[in-house]
Amino acid sequence: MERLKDKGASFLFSSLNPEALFTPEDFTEEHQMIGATARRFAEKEVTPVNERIENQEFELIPELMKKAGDLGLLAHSIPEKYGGLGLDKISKGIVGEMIGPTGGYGVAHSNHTCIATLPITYFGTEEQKKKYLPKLASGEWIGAYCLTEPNAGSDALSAQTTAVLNEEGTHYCLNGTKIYITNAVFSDTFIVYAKVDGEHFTAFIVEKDAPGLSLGPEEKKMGIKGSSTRSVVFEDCLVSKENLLGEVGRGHVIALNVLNLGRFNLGSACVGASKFGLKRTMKFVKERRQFGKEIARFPATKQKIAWMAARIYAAESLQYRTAGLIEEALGDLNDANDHRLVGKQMGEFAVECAICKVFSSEVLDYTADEALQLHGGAGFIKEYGAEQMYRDSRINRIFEGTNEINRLLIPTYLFKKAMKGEVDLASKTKEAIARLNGSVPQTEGTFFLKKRQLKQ
Amino acid sequence: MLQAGLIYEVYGPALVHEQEALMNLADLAIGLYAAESAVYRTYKAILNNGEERESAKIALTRTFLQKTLWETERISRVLLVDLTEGEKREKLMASVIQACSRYQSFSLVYENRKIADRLYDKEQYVC
Repeated sequence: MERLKDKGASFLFSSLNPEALFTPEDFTEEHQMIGATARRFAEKEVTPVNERIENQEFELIPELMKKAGDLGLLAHSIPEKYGGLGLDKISKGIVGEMIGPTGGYGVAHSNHTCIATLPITYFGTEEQKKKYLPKLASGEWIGAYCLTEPNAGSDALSAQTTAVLNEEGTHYCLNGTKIYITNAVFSDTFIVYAKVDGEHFTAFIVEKDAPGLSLGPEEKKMGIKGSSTRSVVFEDCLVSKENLLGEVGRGHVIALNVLNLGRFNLGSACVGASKFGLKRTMKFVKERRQFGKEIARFPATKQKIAWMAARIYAAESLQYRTAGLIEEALGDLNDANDHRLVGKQMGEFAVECAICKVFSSEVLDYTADEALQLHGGAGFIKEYGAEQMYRDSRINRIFEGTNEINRLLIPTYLFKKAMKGEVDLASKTKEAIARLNGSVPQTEGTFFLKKRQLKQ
Repeated sequence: MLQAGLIYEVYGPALVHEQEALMNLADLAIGLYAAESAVYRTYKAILNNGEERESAKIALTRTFLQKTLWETERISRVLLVDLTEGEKREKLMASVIQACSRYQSFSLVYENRKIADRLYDKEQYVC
């Protein structure tokens, strides 16, 4: 791993050079441009039809995705060679954030650009990339990602869907059921995980008209109603051998590593939604008058606003810091064919990506809850919007690995490194105790300077 | 790192079954990553623009740190009770409380009001 300046989870045991840290203040003109495009798209194209999206007029989503594709908002992470823009991971984070406030549409969009497209971008063959990526980049085709099964949720690798090569050796025959599949109803491609011969966990690209593929009824969800969620059933579904993705028995490398980027992006969307909720709430409290003045003027309201803003600041800071780290790890691997290296690099910042997901989804839940509360009775009424934000927020703590699974992953990663001898846990512990026991100087000044001294 | 070391020391490789401790440890790590990201972002901004022009970032960082420090102290104390006993517990507990409380003597009531006023002015999240 000599190619990386930073190593995964190194924030736990080494100090940081602020010069190397990426922050929103470092945005380039290109970053700002794609951000402005994405924001305009969300505000002008998506928000005006929100009610129809909420009513599940599903034909709207592919139309909007096509428009997003025309603007390059689906193509940022796809190499230019395959019809994409080949932008960096910062841009990915920015688009994710701008799309974040659009509820169900945003989930459909992010699901498509992340977990449904990235497996092909990073693990596809030349032919697969040529065939699928240009269509996924333009929005002509929409993608879905099929991992979850009735008996395989958090324990994803225990999947029961099987794939058996036919006698002619031309097709795999898939059997099994995937559930809670986002974008199911309007998807053209499905990334499907199945066990070859019931044993070897493997990824496939399945097209919607593959014989033997069918969809279950639409689920009735609590929130993100604009994104379709259905089961996808495979009954002797024939998939061409050429559509095997990666290697037989190495589907876990794709499944788990792609989720890292998915978790990072989910955090970005949560930051965007949080900012939007705060903005809407400030507008409301400045208009709503009680006891002879706007409720915005009451100190208790101000304190709530400050606490929301401070959490959003931290979430925004850690999201773009992580974006910088991922870019460092993957920036030059957009068109790499060394899939083992790609897998390794994607997994390097697994802890940071898990934190993005957990922290930012909880900031959004906190913000949504306080936004609704500050709306008072109006918060409970649909037309003011806080109600939808509250419902839409909740899924973020669940999908792409529950926050509990992601939490467990964080210390486990550190202990694995310790057991491999990559981190000397015993001496780091001793150091920590020595520091706690006094040698920290008492200083005046701002919080952050003290904190810095504490770390050194 | 202290807490991580303690868990490793107490449970060894069997620690994967100690989910209660692992969840607490995760929260410490999350708090550290978030706080460090905010602090260094603000620090970097000050290096470039000076404290005066970055007063919004400083205020937001302080407010976030205040919350995070209390939470860190709370979790650390719970973990110490779960993982240690006797004299070792007493000594470590005193160290943790002392280390955390050193940075908790700020009142942010007025600063928080100022944060809100600044945001009201712009009618959106700004930093």
